[in-house]
Amino acid sequence: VSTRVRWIALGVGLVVLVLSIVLALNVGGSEPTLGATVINKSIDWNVTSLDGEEVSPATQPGKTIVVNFWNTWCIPCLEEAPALHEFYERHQDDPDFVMVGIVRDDTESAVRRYVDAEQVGWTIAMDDENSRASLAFGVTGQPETFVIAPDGRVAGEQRGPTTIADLEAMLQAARSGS
Amino acid sequence: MRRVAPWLVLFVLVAVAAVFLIARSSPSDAPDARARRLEHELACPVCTGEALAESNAPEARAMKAEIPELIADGMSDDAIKQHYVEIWGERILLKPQNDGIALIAWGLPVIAIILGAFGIAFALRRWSSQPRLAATADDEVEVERARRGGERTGGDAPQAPIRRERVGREEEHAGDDA
Repeated sequence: VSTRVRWIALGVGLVVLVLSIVLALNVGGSEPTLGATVINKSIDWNVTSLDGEEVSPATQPGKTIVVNFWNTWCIPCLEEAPALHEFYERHQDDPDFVMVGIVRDDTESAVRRYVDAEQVGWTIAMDDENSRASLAFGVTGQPETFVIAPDGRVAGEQRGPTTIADLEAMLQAARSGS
Repeated sequence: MRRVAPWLVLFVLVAVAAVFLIARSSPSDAPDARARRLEHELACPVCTGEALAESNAPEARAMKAEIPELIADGMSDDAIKQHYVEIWGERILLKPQNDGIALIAWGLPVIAIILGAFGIAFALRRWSSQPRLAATADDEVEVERARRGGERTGGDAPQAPIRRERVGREEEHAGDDA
């Protein structure tokens, strides 16, 4: 193999390597993003729960709000449900804790049936016809989970199914103000 | 004047066509036209590689309803795009921007074309430097034999096989014509 061919092969290899690194850095996994250095934005949002109560950072002052976007036909949402149930059981009595499930792209009747059947204890709200909550949070599908710190800042977000460990980490980040 | 007339007509036709094409290709500033254009430049946030215009997802419908409102509020096209970039990041833009990592999207095809052109030039140069037909050892012997025969007999040497064949064919044709 001539020297020139070797140099060409080396150049092609380097280009492929650089592109692989760039792609690897830009393709996100489903791990939560934590901390104010990563996410330091406030979101103006409010929803009305199935019980008719308005939920927003303004109605929950000083509290950490866990917001989970989901719907009844989404398989990953059903898969993460046990983790959400356990997490809610752990923290429902915490004075600074609120958990809200916001439903996107589903019917209210299906959601009500699911909530009754699965005995969902946390607040459930339908996103409105203008998808205002989804647009405010920048939702890209479901399930997606966001944790809002008491100051209204998004302290953690997770695109894709969550776990107990991820939820605890995001809650901790919100409470610690990091 | 008669000689110039056709050219004049041709010039007028080309000028009219050019003006018509330029007028048609310049983007309209009408709010509806701007909204339609933005719907093709922005991606549906909950879809994969689908333009807003093509999507019927709730978020896409909401954005399509919101864009005319933002235009009516006096926002420029760039400001509207930036508004959505702040929510979803640059993935919301179907056309990559001209800076940062997006430069790769613009630069790669150019690099590929340049490399391809160099490759073709290199290959052509290499092919043109090699003889298309190389004489075999048998050919060399034949030529040498013919040459030596010619030297020996002063041009009245025994005919080489190819020449003999050609002369034979000419004689046949002459016989046919007669």
